[in-house]
Amino acid sequence: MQLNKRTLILSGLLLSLLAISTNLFAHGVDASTKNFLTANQGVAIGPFLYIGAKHMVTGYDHLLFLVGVIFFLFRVRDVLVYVSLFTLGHSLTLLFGVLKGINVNSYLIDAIIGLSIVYKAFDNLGGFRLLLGFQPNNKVAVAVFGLFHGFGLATKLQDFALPKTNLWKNLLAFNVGVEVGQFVALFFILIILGFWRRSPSFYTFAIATNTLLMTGGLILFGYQLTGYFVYG
Amino acid sequence: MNPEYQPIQSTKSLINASLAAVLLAVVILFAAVLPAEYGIDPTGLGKKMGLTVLAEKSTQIAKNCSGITQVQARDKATEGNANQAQANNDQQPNEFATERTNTVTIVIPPKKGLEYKFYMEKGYALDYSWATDGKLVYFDFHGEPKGAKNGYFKSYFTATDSKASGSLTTPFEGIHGWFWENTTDQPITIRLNTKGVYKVLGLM
Repeated sequence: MQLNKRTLILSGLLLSLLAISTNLFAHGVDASTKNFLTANQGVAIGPFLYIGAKHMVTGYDHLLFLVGVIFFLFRVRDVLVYVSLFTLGHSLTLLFGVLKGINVNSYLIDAIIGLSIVYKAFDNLGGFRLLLGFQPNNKVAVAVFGLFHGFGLATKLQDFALPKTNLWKNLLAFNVGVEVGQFVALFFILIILGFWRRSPSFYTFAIATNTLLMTGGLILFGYQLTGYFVYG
Repeated sequence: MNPEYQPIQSTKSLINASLAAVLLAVVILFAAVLPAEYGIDPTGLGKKMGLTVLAEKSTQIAKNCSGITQVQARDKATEGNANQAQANNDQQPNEFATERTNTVTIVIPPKKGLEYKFYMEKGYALDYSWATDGKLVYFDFHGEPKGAKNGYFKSYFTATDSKASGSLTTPFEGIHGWFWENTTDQPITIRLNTKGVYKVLGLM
């Protein structure tokens, strides 16, 4: 009973953290960050590191996807493999996208990121095994969705007409920052999940949690797709 | 993945979970998110809960202040900046006959000059005030008549100062605005407030 109470408090904490970050980070980057990005002229390793990390820690779409990915990963080794694949995917498109100046409509990319959450939640419910009769390769799926997440990051960074000289240094700093932020976020998610898994309520609420995860992904999808048709 | 840890749900509970997710998402989207974010309110619930006010406010800010846009330029004719200024214009309907108020923050890089312009018809008033962060800039407040050739322009006011304000009644239809030059080694930030019947052309 006491364990259940603790679980409830912890999951409440996780949810409220997500809610706070939603307010902080409505879409893309906040005003003061934007201020810095547009005024920045030269190499600024520190600030770009920080912006990258902050984007990941407060970017609820990336976080929801990560929660989905590691929900049923119990071994540290598996977590590392999957997160590395996700990192590889989004780093590739982030670097490639910014250096080549590829600008995908951010509403469409964010809609796809929303879908990636729906996909993972549905997968966690065993949906694909029931629907298709086999388990789609999870590693490939995570890497492919990583590519889309990277395009999202690249598009957001490019909104600010970054200086061309020494671009790659700032870009690399931003990318490293993203990984640092991801690591920090992952650390907290794993602690909370770790506590939760010890109690039977984890399995009791596994369906409910993944249903809510799917709901969140669908809301993001609808929100961004409408944005695409209204402003895109 | 470790399938041994991942319980397989029955078809029934999978369908229930998926339906519940879709239903909940649709309800939240149409009742709350779309009304609050875009002012799209097919159910009327958003208005009842007062959520559409949020969307109205954000579009109004976009119209009136062009979002208190942060614009900067590395060079007068850099393409990226032209695009950026253009993007700001696109956000607001640029019809004449409505008085608008704008606030814009412009960053002039060290040893560079740039222009910020408005298109106005003849005989309209442009109320303005601008100030730097305290540093002195050279400026030329001028206008180019519509169809002027060979780069002709008329200077209204030229000086070196950290601020200026006043009201201009346009002597002709055309492009009116400022050229600022930063002769220091540090970037200078200028905050420009304007009020009048004009079309924002932005950075040039």
